[in-house]
Amino acid sequence: MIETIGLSRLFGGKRALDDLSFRVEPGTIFGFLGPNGAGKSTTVKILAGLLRPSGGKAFVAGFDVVASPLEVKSRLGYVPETGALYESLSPAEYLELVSCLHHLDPKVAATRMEELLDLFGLEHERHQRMTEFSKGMKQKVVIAAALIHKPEVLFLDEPLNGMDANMAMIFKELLKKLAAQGKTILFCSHILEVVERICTRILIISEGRRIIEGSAGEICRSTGTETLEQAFAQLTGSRDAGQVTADFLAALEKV
Amino acid sequence: MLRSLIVLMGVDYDQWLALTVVSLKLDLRVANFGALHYGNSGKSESIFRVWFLRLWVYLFMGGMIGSVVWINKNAFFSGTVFLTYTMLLTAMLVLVDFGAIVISPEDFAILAYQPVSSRTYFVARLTNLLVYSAFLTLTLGIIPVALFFFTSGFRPLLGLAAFVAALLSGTGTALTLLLFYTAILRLVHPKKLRRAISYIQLVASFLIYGGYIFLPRLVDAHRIKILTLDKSVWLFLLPSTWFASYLDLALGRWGVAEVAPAIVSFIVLGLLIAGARGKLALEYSDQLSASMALSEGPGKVSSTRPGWIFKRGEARAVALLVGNQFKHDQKFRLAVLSILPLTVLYLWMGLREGPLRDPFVSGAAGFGKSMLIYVAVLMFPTMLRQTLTNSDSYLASWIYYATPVERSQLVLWSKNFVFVYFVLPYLSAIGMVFLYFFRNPWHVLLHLTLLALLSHLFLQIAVFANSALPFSQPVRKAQRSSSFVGILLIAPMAAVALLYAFSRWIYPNIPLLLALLAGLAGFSWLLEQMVQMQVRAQCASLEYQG
Repeated sequence: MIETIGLSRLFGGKRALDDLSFRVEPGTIFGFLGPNGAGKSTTVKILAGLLRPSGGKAFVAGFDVVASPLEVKSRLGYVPETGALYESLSPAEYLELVSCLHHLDPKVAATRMEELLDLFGLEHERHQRMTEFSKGMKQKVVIAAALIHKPEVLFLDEPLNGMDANMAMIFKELLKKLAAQGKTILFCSHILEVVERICTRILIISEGRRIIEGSAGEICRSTGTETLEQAFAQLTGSRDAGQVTADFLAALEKV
Repeated sequence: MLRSLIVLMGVDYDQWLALTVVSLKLDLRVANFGALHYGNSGKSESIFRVWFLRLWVYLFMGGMIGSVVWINKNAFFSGTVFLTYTMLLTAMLVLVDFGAIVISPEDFAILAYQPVSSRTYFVARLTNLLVYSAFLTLTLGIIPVALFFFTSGFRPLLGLAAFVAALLSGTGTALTLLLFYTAILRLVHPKKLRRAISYIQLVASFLIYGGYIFLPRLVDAHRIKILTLDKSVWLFLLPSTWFASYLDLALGRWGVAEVAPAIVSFIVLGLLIAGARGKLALEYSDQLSASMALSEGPGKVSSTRPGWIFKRGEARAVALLVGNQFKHDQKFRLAVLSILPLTVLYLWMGLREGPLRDPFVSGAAGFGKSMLIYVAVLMFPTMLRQTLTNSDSYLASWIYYATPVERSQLVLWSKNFVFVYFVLPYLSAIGMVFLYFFRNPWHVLLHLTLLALLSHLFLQIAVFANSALPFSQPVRKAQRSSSFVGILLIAPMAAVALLYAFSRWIYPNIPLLLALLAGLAGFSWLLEQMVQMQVRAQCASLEYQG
């Protein structure tokens, strides 16, 4: 379970989050959407214990993220947008580190590591340093690290970054199965087709504030649009794409 | 035992062990350990080679200071010299590796969402720092410490005291730097601080390496043998004396002048550890990464305006690229600037035997004194050209492959750029020194013309051997190029032999000299045609390294 109550965060004088409240039930893949700078990553960072809120409350798996950060973190799997990892380590070394930090039994950790590396097609690269890896390969390791301790709650910030179509398909299927097992999944992405297809509920925020929440169908109905993409554009005040590109092309012709 | 101790400190033992092992692995694989040019994508065999080399360098440095311990039997004096030197070197090396060893901004992005307490992280980082400073102090100090054990008969207590003093002084130095660095970070932007530290390193390395040459000439063995230190209050302002007092204690001298400084050393170490606690927390790593991400603020806006022959096409592109890299890439700028102190050092070494002699007047008689200067003049352009091909941002070289640029022209113009903007000003500066000693502008001009022609010849040979595009190769990979090493070592020797031959047989005959200079220029032109063909052929088969 994830819950925020009146969450806010200030950066200097700028309000990145403003009285944001939502609740995600176990077994849900919750799409968390917004234009650039809307406050998605800030929210996820607060929930993962990377930032402290300026106001309001946040709970993950029943624990207050400020009062009990270690309880939250031990139940959490996080795929950050940056995909940061220690690139000078091999996938096996990195996953071993993460499993140690989560106090996994070494035998259990080794078995899960094998399974995850096989799942992501990294079984032959397990002992290679990640400095030479492609973006997609690194992303697979980050995802494997987020799953190795079987977390109750998953925060996925642009998890499909760099992933090929086949792997993305497997990953989406995996998410559905994890949700069916009762895991709570917060999914941030700009690929709205994917969000529309796999998320059971969706929240759209803009300028740190809640705009709308519901299933993809409910959001489309309430905005009178046919797709989530159209609904998103309408709700977040996107400029007319046709007009913008026409202006750009005209500017190119002038020079 | 260790587990109980760690747990007693309120630290998660398994997490501490995992974090410590990983951070040591990362240090081994990533850290520079004193080298300015070492990439972080190295494979294990070259990493071991680097470590092996470093080990020998540190042992050599320790051996130099060990000679003081060997010559001077006053334990307090030789201990103070040894510890001052060790602390200085440790400070310099920790400064070089600060980002990787002491506090790593990337830790926050990777570990902040893991269930690790601040205390566990702190103790893991502190362990890492202790291991690092222990490695440095032990490799630097192993020879002096061994000498303390054995120089005046077997004195195990003295040796042990030297060992503990080296270890604790190294740790104290590392912790002091941590606090100093983090205090300054409150006032100055991290990028500005890094820039300042790079210049400090440049000067410090010049002083340290220069010191090996200067000091033995200033202080002879006889004088070192009789030197002592008066234990005045002022002397104890030098922190190394606090640790050196352990040596007197080991010899059974338990007066106030011995006990008090030792107590001060323990109090200061305790304060440093307490002060470091807040700086080695994950939260601090977050602050550091956040401040690094912040803009440095509006700086001076200055655009590079390529002039003279670098006005169009590939020539202009190269001039813009190199000019801007020099302005903004600290590593490249330092690689270029580091040539200056080395030149001064070589000049000094050449001049210490007496003034430079005009080769037109003295022939080859005074040639040996100037040989190092000629090696420097002929070797540095080739080094510069090599520096120009390496960059940490080598992945950006895709642009050479995705645009309709003539790649061979980029290579040739980068050679020309080095010659016009680095070699010619460098030779002009050297020319001023020659003018001071030769007193004959005509001789200086002829001599410089020969040097310029030979420098250009070496640049051509370097480009012929390796037609790498500007800033297109990872630093380490380029360094391993055997042809480069060959050019760097063999070619200047060949050129010095040529210069010797010129000054002995050609310089006395000016018309012959002029004819040979013209011949050399003609040969250079012919070689340029061959270089162009070779570069075109090599560039046709070049592939993006990313």
